[in-house]
Amino acid sequence: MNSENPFGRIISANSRECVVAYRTSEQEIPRFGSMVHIPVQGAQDFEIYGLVTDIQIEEDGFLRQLATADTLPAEVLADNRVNRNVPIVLRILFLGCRDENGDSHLLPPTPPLTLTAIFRCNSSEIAHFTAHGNFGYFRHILNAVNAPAAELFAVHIRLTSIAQNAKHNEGWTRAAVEELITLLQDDYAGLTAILGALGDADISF
Amino acid sequence: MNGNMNGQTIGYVTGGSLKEGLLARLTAAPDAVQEGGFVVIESGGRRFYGLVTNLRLDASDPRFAENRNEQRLGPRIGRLLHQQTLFTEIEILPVLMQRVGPEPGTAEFDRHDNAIDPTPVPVKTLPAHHAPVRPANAFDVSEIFGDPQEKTKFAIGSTREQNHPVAIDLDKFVQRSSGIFGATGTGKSYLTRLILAGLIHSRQAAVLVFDMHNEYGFGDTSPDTNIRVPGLKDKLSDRVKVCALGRGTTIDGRTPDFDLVLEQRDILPEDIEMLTHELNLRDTTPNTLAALVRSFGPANWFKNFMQLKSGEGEGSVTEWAEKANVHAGAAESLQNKLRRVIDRAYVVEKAPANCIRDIIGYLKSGVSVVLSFGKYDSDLDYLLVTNILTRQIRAAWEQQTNAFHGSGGAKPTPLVIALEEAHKLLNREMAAQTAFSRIAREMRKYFVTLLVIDQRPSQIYDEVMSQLGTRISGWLGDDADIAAVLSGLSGRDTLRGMLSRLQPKEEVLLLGYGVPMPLPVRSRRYDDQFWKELLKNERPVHFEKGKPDWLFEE
Amino acid sequence: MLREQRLRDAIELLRSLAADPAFPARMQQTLGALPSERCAIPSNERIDRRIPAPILNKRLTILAADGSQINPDRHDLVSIGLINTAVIRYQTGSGVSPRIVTQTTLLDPDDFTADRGSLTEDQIALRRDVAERELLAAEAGKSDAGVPLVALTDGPLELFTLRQAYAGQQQYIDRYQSALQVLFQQHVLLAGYIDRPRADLVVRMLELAVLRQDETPTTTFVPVDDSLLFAGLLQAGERSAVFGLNSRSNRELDEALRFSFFYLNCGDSQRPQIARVEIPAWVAADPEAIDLLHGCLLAQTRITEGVPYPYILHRAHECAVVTLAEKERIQNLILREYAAQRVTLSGESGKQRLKTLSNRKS
Repeated sequence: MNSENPFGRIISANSRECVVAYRTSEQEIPRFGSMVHIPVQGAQDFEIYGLVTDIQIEEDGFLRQLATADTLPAEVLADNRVNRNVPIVLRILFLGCRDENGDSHLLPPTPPLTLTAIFRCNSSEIAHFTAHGNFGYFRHILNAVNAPAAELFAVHIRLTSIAQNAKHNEGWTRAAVEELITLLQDDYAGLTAILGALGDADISF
Repeated sequence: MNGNMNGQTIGYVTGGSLKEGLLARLTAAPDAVQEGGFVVIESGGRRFYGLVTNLRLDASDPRFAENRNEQRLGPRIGRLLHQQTLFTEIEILPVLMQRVGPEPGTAEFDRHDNAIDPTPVPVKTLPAHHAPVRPANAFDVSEIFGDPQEKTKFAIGSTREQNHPVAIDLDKFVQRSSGIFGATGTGKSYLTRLILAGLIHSRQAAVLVFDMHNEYGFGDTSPDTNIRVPGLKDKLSDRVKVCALGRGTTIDGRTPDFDLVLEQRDILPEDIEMLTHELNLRDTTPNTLAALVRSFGPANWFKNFMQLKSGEGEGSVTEWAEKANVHAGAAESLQNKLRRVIDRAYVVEKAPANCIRDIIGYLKSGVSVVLSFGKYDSDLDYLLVTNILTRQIRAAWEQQTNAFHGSGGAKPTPLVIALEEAHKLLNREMAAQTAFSRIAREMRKYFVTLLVIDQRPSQIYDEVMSQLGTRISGWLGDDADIAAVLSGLSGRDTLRGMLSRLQPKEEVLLLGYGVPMPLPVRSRRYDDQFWKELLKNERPVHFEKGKPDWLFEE
Repeated sequence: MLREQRLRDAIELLRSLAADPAFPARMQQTLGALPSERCAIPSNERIDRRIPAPILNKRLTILAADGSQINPDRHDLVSIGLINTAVIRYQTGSGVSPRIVTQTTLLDPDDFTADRGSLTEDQIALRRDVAERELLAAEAGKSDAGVPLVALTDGPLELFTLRQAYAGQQQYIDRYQSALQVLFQQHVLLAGYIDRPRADLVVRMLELAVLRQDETPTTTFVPVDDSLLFAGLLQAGERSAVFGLNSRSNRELDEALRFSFFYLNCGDSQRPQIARVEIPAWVAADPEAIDLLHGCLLAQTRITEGVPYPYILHRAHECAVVTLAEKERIQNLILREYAAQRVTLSGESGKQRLKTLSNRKS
């Protein structure tokens, strides 16, 4: 997977998120919490930005058969890990979009079409999108249903602080943490969970 | 003066009400403000003046305060968390507000309608949310309390945090009765000297001081430090006469300007009734006294009664009693008891000069009089002399005022009667019988007011207390005393705490309708520096900042 | 019960015929008169022989091939025909991940457009079978000498699809045989694995064996088929004797390429499961090769417990199958290409373009 090549295609989408099916081997599994962009078909200069909030390896009856075996030949293990096109389903939470007017932390006006390809964001794209505005996209992560917000923020802030530091925007990380504290002052459990995860992520600022 | 006086913002308004006061989030460190701090809030072209009445450590969720999260999250994240979730909230009692208009030079200034208040008015509205809160600066303090340089203003102390001079308005001080309170040892008598000095020096009023303990005329020695401090006579001799009770009395080895003796005819039945407690008089006494006045007239009853012989027969008490239809035993008992009065050396049948008239004369001419009681320091002396004297003074001022209003006579000189141990005269039982409560209540219109000085304000009749315009109180330990000082004032609950937490020796709380707003101040010191500044009035008032020790304990 | 009785009868007959040394010759003679009868022919092994699972102590390379096809659908916006074949290479005992080769061929749209008649599904299946063998032959050529090479396909080696003749069929038969020749030259241990077979080749042989002269063949043992017969005969892991295959198409092949078969019980002691394994003559003639194949298939079927089917064949199928999503994706690619070339969907040049489009992935 690289930023030029798509790593999956959308199989369903709504206004807030989409599900991407992906057949690949283990090494190429996109990382949890990484940022992706989705070019929207038929619209030049329009892209949706998203965050990988869940990676699910679909169940497979054949694997279930293999899993019950007492011993498996090494070649079979290797085959299943390297070759087998295990269906991987990614859940992508939309964070905002970009059009000819620039970045926006509002949700895209329409969801992308099915089978649209998904691309990984490069460092520059991450830095540009996350430095836009005032962390408005955090609300999408906080409002996400069935997403581990604490883990997502820990990974997202760690990855993004690397991208921001590369742009000499060292203040971003601290501002991001402050914004989270402001947003979650009234949610003690939620906030301490996120800050605890940030502590585990060993983020420096 | 409308320039940017903002100084340093210490917080912003987050809520509140006129009834319960304002709440502000502190953005400075918690120790940047104190209870009683004088703060200013600027909002919408208005300036709100208020007092910090409480500080509270708060958190956006109590669990942020209860749990020491920095230990779990590490110092960096912990610090960011605490910066936003833990804070200090201050409660502000808004007291005054003033429309000041927008800043000159701004677009709003060009448009605004010049609707500005020349002086602050009581708070009737509130500042907007997030209006900045800052400590009052010297300009604010003088805007509210007046410029200490002005002739009718007297700098009584300075604000506690910034040391800005705080003045009291002597005009107002003498227009209504006032009070100086404080537990024993809080420097009350020095504070009184300070104020009396300012008052006399300003010529705003003549002062009659009932100096029960001989402190004010010639000064005395501090019991704490053994240092001699000057009296009013020492420094303002041309405006102060010292008068001693009794013939040939010396005060601390010094000769007074004149003596005071009372003639028997000065004593009225009400003066005796007032001594019921001291003389252990019976219930029948008012009847007997009334009969005496019927028999001998108001001027001579005392002399004639005391000349009646004991026993039977003509010229005896018994004979008079039978004639006057009075119980003989009661009359004899009264006569016996009144011997304690007639035996007083200062009570004479005929005085060589009319001392009371002299005192009134001085006072009318604007000269203040310190009446030292010398060796006569019993309550009986104090009650008898003050009452007789005050009654005559009152009559004189009433007469002069009536003449002033009616027939174009001269305007009476404002008179302040300073009463030490005021509760002896103004307690609940006594107040109805002495001249003082009436002065406190209604003599304002006759240009006579009281300056009540006491360590037990709770024992003063509350109707009198509520008449006191300016109240200056040092530390009070007793809840009842605190309640008494605050009686009749709004915001009692918040002021109560402030009063009980004053520094015992250097701080006083200004309050009452005589002052624009309540304010705790560090009081000025009664020392050489004070006199130097007072007597060279042109010089700017100067305070040395931050000496924590009380002058008299150096 | 009729079935049990007939099974006992069949087994009894099998054993009695096996004990008769003259039986194979007599059978040859009988079949000489019935050349088109599809049935088993005794080999040099006794027909009731049960060969236990051999110990497999050699490293093997196993290739498995499978194919899938997309039949053109006239209702699609872009109608496509497609054959996808996959070969998986599995080296036993190496621990190395198997390698997969797939090959996708788009069919010439001229072959299924309305004006030129259309390809039947069977015809496409034939091409698919040929493509499988060709890919298998090509991959076999890339193997190390010295390591025995087993090559497996799913289903019979014999081309059933030949029954319907159509123009141009012969070229695929030729290509098919060429591929077998390549495998033969390299002595690849080729086998076709038929899971749960429903054939009655051996039962038919028994019926014919007891046929008197001039009698019409009857179905004496119905409903007993070969699976039932060998399930009753073979213990877990055992294989049957190798049988020759009497059929017309088999006779048409070169002798070296003709197919034989044996049955294998790849179930366990509780649940026997019979598979038929078709092998070409060059394998049938090599007992050591049969042992290797027997052991190899047993090992493969035991990887997925409870579902005895060779692992590698399942994987070849997975690699070859074309999902609906993949089909749509290919159609989208074609549409996009049309758009880029500004081709209308009914235009001639569109068909031309399609011919050039083929996607090879690995």
